[in-house]
Amino acid sequence: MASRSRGIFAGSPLALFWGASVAWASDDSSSAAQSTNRTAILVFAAFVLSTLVMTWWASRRMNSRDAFYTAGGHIPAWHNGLAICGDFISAATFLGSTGLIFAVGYDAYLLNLGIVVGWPIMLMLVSERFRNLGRYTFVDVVTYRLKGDAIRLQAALTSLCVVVLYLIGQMIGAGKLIELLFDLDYAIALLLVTVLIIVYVIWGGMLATTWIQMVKATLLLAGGVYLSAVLLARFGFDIGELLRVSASMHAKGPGSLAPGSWLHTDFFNIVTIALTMCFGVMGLPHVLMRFFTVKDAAAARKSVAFATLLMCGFYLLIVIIGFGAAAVVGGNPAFHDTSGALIGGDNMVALHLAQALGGNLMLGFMSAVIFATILAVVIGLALAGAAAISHDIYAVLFHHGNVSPKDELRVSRFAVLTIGMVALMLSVAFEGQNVAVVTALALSIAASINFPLLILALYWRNLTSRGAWLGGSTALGASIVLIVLSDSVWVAMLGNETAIFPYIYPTIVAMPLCFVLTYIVSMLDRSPQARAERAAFHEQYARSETGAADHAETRPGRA
Amino acid sequence: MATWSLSASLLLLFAGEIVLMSFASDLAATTPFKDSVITVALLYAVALVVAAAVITALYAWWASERLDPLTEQVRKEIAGEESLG
Repeated sequence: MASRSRGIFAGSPLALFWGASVAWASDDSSSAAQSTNRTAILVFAAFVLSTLVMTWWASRRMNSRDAFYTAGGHIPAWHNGLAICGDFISAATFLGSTGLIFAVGYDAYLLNLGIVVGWPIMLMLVSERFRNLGRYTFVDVVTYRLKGDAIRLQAALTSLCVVVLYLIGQMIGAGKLIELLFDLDYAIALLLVTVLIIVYVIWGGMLATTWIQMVKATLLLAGGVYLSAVLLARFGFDIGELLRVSASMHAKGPGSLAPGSWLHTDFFNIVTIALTMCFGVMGLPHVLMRFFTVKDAAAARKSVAFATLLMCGFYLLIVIIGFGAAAVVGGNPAFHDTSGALIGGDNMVALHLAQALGGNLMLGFMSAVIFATILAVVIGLALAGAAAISHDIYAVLFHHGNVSPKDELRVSRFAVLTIGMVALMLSVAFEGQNVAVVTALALSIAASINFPLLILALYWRNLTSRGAWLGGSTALGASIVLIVLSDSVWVAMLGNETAIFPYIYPTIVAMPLCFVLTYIVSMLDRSPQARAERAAFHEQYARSETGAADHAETRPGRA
Repeated sequence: MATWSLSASLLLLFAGEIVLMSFASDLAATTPFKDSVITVALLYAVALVVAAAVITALYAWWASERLDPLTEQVRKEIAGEESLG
């Protein structure tokens, strides 16, 4: 199973997010090959210590529900932009992207291009309106004028699903990474991560989370810039020469610099990946939640713009690092085992590159940065998950907003504890398993359900609760069924020869399905509730444009 | 309006990437510079990232210069109407 999982991950777009964990899980020799690195431990210890100090500092300022969920809306725009960057770019994005370019070449970059296109669109179409309409969560915005418990419950559950599925994938990756880098037992590594998540989020809330994500983003970007600069210097700052050497060393040869070596110019495969990456960005609750941490819509826009520019720069560096890794590490026997495979799998290539360019010092630094990256992403996820439980479900759905802030805050902390423990148990249970299914589902829900419902809620007057509920539920069901019929379950887990659904992401089917069904049912809905929801659109639209009439007592979820 | 046209422009450029990868792989593999391995596909991908950055910067500038004052004016008008009402 392990080798099969590895094979799937090595060649699938999911390697971008989670491939690292499975590749490492299946390669015991890599653990032996990587001795505990003192620099990594030192930098890691310094990071944990400094983040604990930040948490202590933040805990003295966290005296309310607003402070817990959104840091009171007092985060400066550029701080938030940096934190968004830290929240979004996971360790596996960095390791997986470079690893996939190293393994398959140009085709892998499609995943990054989808993200790069998705962010500016989110900036222009979503960020300001989202900030003006909501308070704490994605569900606040989607259900702003949609009435009834069914749609609120559905939105909260899809939101929670994305967060928890993401969290499990990240946790398994974290456990394997720490096991490999610090020679710690997998379960102990996970326990350490869980304890840190709980401490950071329960005591530090959004303020501590923000600062940790800022530090992480700074370290990751600095590491990326350093690696790229040293790489380019090695080739006389001649990108053409770097690519020429890369093409000669790459497993796919000169074909690595053009499309076709992985996706084989398959239009539908390319489209489903593009849709998932581009629009999935706009359906991630933990990223969207960050828009509420600034004072107003203009600040939200500025922070998303800053984050987008940083990410554009980062994804340009990925090209240099990915192809540069092929040039430097590709032909170096020190990084390959006796069978000729890269030690630790393709996703280790960025760390091998760090070692090749800067020795153990750089390897240690980058290893610690990767750990910080994992930690920053999982605490953002834990906070978003806690908000979905305590705010969307407990306070608004169960008690219709009639809950004291103190009570909601207490439930939030309990939710963090629960999410941490559940994620720990599931991550231990799924050790060595193919997590492609959970990651595909998370991204698919984000792109196929959250994004359509969000964009329709913001812009389409005729959207009704019934339409949103039926469209969202059907798309969710379709996503699950198609993933079961896809390679990651039908072949890898159930042992069939070929997949019935030939694509990994079901977005190409589920997203249009969600749009079409929501449209049809909403248009056919003639109920009094539907009329009231349509009538409320103009007020919502004006508020989403201007933030005007921002009366606390009239907004959803205000208690 | 600017938000939709800029978003559509970016999506159109992205669609170009999809078409290039799906139906024009020969063109994508062409190396336009003499004695260089840099392909049309690589140039297009980098241009797409740069375009995303430029559109982001353009929108951020436009929104700060034009949209924010307009929004402020509307907010004041709404506040004025409410106080009269």
